Amino acid sequence: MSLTPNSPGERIYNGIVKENPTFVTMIGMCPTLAVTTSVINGIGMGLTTMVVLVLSNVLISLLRKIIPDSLRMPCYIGVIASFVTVVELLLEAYLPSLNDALGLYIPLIVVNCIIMGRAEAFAGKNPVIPSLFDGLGMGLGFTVGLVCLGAVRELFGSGTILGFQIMPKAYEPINIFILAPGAFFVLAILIAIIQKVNNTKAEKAAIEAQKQRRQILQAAGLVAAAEKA
Amino acid sequence: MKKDGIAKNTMVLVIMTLILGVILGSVHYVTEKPIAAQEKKQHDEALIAVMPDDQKDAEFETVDLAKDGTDQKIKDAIAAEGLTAESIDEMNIAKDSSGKEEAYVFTVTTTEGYGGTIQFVLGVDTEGAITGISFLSISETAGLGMRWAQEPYISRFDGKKGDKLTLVKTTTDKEDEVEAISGSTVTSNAITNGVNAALAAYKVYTEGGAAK
Repeated sequence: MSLTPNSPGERIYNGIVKENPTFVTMIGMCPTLAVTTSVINGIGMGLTTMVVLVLSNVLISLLRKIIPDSLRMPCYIGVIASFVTVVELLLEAYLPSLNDALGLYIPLIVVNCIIMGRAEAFAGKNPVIPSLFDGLGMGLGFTVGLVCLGAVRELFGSGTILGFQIMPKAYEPINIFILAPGAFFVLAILIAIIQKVNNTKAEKAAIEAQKQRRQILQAAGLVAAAEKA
Repeated sequence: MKKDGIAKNTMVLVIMTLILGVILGSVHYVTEKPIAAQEKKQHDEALIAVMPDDQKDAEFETVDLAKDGTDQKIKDAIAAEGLTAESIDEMNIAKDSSGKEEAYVFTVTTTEGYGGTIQFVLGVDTEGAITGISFLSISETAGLGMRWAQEPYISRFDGKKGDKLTLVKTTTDKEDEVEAISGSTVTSNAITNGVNAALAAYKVYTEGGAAK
């Protein structure tokens, strides 16, 4: 896929696929492991983090020319913490059931590496619109990661998905999936599967590229060079 | 624009703080009333939740505990039981449509939960038996202490009666004994102490002749 760098579409693709925070760059692991005991918790946490990501990316991008390099950290943390408080207040006021479900994970969004990471790596150096879509893309990628992890853990650990009984009644839920060790196991297996898929794709692409190089060189009559390509 | 000087850096930090302060202040102002309304709604729902099934249409009247020094008497009674982490936040009287008093509902806070403060609502009928318990704020360990907020554990207090309830480790029929949840001693203790504080307050209120 060749998208214009930093275009909205490219940023979204980057956040969900190319540099997915959960499966590729592997940041923001603490809430990932803690919150994915069910799909709905994963969705709630993912979308809440996405909102904070977008807000903080936009503000930091707007202020990037004013904030001196040496003051990056305190300014970024101030912005992120403020927006987490804003989101917390809004949830308390208008979505109390989501607030109850996510409970004490909301304040922990402040120290979610994803937000700080994107502020440092992107928003602090890029204009507002790409930063907005970068936040959106990374937030969606994080949500996708949480939902995948949450789906496996909820399915095997409770027999349900989103509260609906999926496993047959005879299925005895395997409790460890809901506990901490289960989180590590499932995450490891998911990352391994994705790496395998990526490696196979990369291998295929490399073999294809080699074939093409050989064909070109042979067509040009450079047989010896073709053998070595 | 990126030169570092103490004066410039200070100005930047001041500006940042001002911007963030304005954002936080405005959101706080806008959400203050909805948040208070949510808390009241949750509290009102808890009051109904602790009533027995045939009394769910009761009307609640808040008791002014400051009158006649009732709140001090309640504090003394709780301290006399040896409870240091429990307090009564509010007391309501549940009345049926004819104005007859059906139950007394206490909002209790205990600070000795495993995960911090637990706040719950407890209903006690006119005979002194517990009608139900409903949790307003509890953040104990999932799968252990948190189970108190779910069936069937939340019904363990129903029908219990006495000056003081004791926690026991086995299923019990005794009116003044409650079975603990194994593996969550701290949570079970905190909640039972809170219930006992409410029972002490119940005693103070009814024996003070203020009832009926």
